[in-house]
Amino acid sequence: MTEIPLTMTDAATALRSGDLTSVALTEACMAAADRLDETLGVYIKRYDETALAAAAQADAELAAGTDRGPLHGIPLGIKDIIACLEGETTGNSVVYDPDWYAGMDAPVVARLRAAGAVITGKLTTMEYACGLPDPDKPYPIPRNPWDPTTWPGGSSSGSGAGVSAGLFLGALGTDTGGSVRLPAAFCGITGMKQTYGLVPKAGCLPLGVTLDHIGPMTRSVADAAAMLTVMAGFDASDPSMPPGVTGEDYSAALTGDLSGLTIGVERANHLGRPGADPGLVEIFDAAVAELAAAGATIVEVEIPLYAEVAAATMLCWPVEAFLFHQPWLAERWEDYGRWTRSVIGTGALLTAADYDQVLKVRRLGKAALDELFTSVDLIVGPTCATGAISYDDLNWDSLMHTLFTPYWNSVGNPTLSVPMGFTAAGLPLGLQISGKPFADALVFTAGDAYQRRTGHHLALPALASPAPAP
Amino acid sequence: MDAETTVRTLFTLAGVTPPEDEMAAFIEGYPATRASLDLLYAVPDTPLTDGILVFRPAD
Repeated sequence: MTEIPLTMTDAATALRSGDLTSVALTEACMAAADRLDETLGVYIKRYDETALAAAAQADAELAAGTDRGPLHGIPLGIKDIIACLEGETTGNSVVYDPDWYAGMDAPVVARLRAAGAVITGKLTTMEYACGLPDPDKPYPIPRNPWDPTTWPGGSSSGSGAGVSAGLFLGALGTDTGGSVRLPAAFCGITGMKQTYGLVPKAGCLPLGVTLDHIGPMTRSVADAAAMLTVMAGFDASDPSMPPGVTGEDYSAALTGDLSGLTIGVERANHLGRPGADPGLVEIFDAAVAELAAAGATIVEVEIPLYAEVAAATMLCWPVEAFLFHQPWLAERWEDYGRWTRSVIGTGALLTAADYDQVLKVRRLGKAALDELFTSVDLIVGPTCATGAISYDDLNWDSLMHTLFTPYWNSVGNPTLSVPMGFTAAGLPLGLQISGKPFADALVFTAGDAYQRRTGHHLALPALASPAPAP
Repeated sequence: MDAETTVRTLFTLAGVTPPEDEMAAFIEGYPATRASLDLLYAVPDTPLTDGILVFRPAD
């Protein structure tokens, strides 16, 4: 059986050298899913037949000299709140409309497909991107490949676990309070929440419309840059996008050199949290040292209004989610998962004045952050305070206690999570790198420079053995 | 207004009626929600700040 290359970049090279075909690669990913998915709970629906057809087309095109770029022939998974033409979008719920976006791709999926990507299927998610796994519902329970007794994080759970275990080489996730970056950190992979408004969100079931992002989840920063290059840019279907916004070739920014850059290290709001992993500070300091060794000037910073803006995120999305779900909640309350309705229901408990105050504080926080970014180019901190949470300990309190992600959704700045090491228990930890609005390329530059000097992103969970070919 | 009256009133106005055991959990959790909101109301200068949402009549 064909061994799966670790990264899209490796696979793209092998596809063009003749060492690999897209069909063989897709079949190998399917075999990995056959072997591991009953344990990991990655897929809601596999698209094996159409994926193999797309892979065969990719092979034919590449052989004929038609090269659609680095995603050509690459297997990708799609979080099941994003529409794909192959089938329905369930939101990981029993409460959904099978006719919603039926037979259509979300614009971002259409772009991946036009770039030659092989769509392998729909992936597990927290119900409607916000409910904790519920064994009483007819959906797989997602598990972390590094330790299947732990949660892979969410809400892009299947995306994180699947990339980590090699069931596909990249995936789409979404991020409203951390749902790309959290599973990226817990699963030891790379996840990008790009600048708000850079990627169209039409065809994606909303959670918090002013906070939602569709982002790439991959093993490496180079792979995430390749995906975002395809995904980014204005689409008239999404009114939240600045008119005419364009992406760029993010792969061209991967120089490996951080000379001339000033990176702010944010400790005040990130380190010293009770219950944080004992190794977090040392691992984070080592990561900062690598950024310095790559040429960056390191300074200490403190983000103003951090607690207030992070709170604003967690108060904002339930209101926006409740607006979407109210008709179904009124009629089918108990068909939603217990955790899902417990959080979306809180959206009914803010008044209009409260919601306006939330938005005002986000505006003030953004202005204060913009001022901070006049003195630094990037800001870094850990993604989470701990490694993956055990299912025995998983609840809203333990989840909220570990997160350092929500702040960045309220302000909309690009924020990347990359693996930075492991806890004593062998669970991955993530480094968060944030930049100015639409400076996504610079965020990738820093993440890639870090990955060129370290190997955390190439580590594989033992469950994914035998190890793919280098 | 106490937490129980507030929560029950807001859910009634929202057209949603959770079962009593879940209503009790929402009531118990409401002070924490209110505390988070109070944190935001304590931020200075907010009466003069425009919010996030933008209406573009040309859309």
